[in-house]
Amino acid sequence: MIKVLPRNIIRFIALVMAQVLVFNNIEISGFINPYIYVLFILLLPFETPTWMLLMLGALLGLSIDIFSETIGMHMVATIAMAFLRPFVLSVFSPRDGYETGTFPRVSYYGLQWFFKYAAVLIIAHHLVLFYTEIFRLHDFFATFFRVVLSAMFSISMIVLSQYFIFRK
Amino acid sequence: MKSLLRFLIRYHSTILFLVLEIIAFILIARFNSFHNAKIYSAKNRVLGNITSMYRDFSQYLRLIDENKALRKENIRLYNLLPANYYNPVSHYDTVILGEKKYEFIGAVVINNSTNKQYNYITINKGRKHGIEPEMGVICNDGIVGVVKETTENFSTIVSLLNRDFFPNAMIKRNGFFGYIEWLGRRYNKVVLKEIPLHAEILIGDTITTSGYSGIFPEGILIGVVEKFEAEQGIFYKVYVNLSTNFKRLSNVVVVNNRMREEQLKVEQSTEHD
Repeated sequence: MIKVLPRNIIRFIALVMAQVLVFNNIEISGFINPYIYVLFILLLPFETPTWMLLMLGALLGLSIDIFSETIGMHMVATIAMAFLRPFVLSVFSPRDGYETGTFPRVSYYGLQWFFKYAAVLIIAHHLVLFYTEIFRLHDFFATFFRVVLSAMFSISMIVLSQYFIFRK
Repeated sequence: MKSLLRFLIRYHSTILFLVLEIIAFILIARFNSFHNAKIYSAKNRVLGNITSMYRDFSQYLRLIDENKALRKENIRLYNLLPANYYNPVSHYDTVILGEKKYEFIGAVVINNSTNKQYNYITINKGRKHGIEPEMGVICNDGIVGVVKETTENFSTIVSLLNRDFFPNAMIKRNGFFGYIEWLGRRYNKVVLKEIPLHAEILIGDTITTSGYSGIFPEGILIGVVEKFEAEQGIFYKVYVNLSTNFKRLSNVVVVNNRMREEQLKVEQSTEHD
């Protein structure tokens, strides 16, 4: 437990910096943006209580918002994602539950499990984020297109990061 | 009381979720509809150094192109000097120049986005340098936007790539005018609306500002016609390729119309009659 805390603090700072300084400047064909900072929520330990998930989600979203001048928008999306995480975890749980001492990662539960888990939460996050940003329904399908493409991009970045950066 | 407590304990995460989401939406409503200058200056103090270092570096990479553009602009301005015109009256002193209407203030972009639905630009000049809200902003290639908020040293600009900004525009060749709208997708495409069906449009026509609102001088380039189609049988919807590249905006010029107040005053008193 003592090792988990500093590791998560460092991960939080590193992901926010990476998102703000690098990934916010990546745009493919004008409107596809990868949002990789949500990886922080994905990698939190299984035992994290829901209230703490929600508070951390709010804090994470707000930090991104402050640096990208969209106060509140990322916050709404990350809180929603944090709220959904326990449900998604229980839906995809293996037959005999999650073992203590393991973390939600490719190295413990395999690529297929991690992909399903990450994809559902990232798509939920992007849906909330993009529809909150535009705040109207009359471009419904254009926005949906943006959600799908950006989510595909974020998911691939996050899954790849499991093999290269966050291996342990 | 006991059952209320039990209810609160049982659903504490859902309640916390709702409370946090409400807070987030309040924040959105509070900060995003109008850009609070205070947040900006606070953020600039914190992030200012990093952003300007990043800016300096990326500007360095573009130095060659930027120099080329400046040289071209210099030559163009040189050609406009009154001293370079043939003067039928023998002495230069006797040329009568009208009262100067537009003043130009140069500035450098320090923050910019093109990927949101409501994009804003920050520049490094503010109230101290004579910049006020509602002044137009242009660059060598065409129009950029309009000043929204100013602090002592900085200003924010509503980019042309903002879904709440509809500048007047006209077809240069025949003077038919309408307004520009950004559809929120490509950073290099806008739509010109309310051009009547009897107007003759050709692909490749130049679209410029009309100068009616007094924000921009007349004839500032916006872009060229890519294609057009009739919309609802009344007006043309004209797709325009922007001449300004918003992805690599760096030097901009703020336009101060010294007669705008007078124009607004006379227009207002006409409407009130």
